[in-house]
Amino acid sequence: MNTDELISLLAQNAGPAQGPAPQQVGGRLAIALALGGVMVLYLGLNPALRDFAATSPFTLKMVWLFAMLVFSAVLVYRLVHPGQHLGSAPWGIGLALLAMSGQGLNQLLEAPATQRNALMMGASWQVCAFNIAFIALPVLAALLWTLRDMAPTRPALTGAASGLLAGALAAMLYSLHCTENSFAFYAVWYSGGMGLSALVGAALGARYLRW
Amino acid sequence: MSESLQTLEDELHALWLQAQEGDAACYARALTVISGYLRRFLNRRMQSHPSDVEDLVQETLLAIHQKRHTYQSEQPFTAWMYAIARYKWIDHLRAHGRREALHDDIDDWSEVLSVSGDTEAADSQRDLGHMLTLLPDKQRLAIEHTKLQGLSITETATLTGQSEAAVKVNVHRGLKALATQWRVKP
Repeated sequence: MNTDELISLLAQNAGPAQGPAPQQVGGRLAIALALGGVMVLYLGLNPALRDFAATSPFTLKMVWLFAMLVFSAVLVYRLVHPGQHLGSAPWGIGLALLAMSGQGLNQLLEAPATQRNALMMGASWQVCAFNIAFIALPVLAALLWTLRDMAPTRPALTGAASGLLAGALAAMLYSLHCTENSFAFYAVWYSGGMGLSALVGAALGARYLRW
Repeated sequence: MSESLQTLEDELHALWLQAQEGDAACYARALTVISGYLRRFLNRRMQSHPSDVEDLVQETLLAIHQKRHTYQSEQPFTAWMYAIARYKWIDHLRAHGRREALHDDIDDWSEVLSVSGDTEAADSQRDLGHMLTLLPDKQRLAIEHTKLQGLSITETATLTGQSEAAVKVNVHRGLKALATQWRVKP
């Protein structure tokens, strides 16, 4: 077929195109989040959650995770619309990470030297990042599946941003289980979990976000 | 933004919005202008593979059509179109690069590989004929019948009066002896 024939064929379909249907996207995400919720229930809810949720480390962590969620969502949105500038979203993510690291560092410096290790490692450093990344997997899959219908012109970066978004959601879910309360711990292991998820997202994005 | 790009932007943006309203003539006109832009864009970048340009123009046009829901009317149309064209071009290079890396063109090796076929065959014939004469008769016959004339073991056994097992052993020993001679000979 020559190009003119193609053009007249396409011209017959003038008019707006449908993007991914919101109900469908919502459905996929809901299923993925439910899966993540089941994983958290399997790990077990924090028995003291009601009291723990009122403490300032928990609240601040949730605000931080919410900021990560919003910035990475904005980043993903810009990345899947060709020709959009990334704007301030990467800065937002960087600043949020920096803020939590600053809090953690401050906490470590103020604490007596003997307690520093305990503050940073908590009781669950071996599993925290992996749990978060694992809970993020279904959300990441749902996101990538949906984003294939959009037009990501930088597939690996889009995958990484999706991984970060999924990681932030997963970390919020994981907070229902986690009993750690030090900023240093959050700065290292929660960030680590989201970073791990972003790495997985970058690898998957480079491969599957082609159109 | 240069003046010509601004003109292109104004023209395409207006056409595109009308096309999104369902105006087929405007859409055809817009796609024609876009295809011209894509052809220039790709011609500049794919001078080593000019034959791929038109295919890629069509692929990009199709992508622009299928992904038109990702265009937001307040953004510059040319920026959107450029981002898609660039993606399609890079994606093509990637896919092509992977194929090219695995592909070793035999023409590149023609000088190394070019020995006139007839001479080579004749040489090896003479050589083999000579080397076979150095073998004991039962080994030579076994090889000549099975390997050169393509007879079966049973046929060879009948023709030479050897047992089938003997034919097999003689072929094996003969080939081994040939291999040894081949290594000794310069």
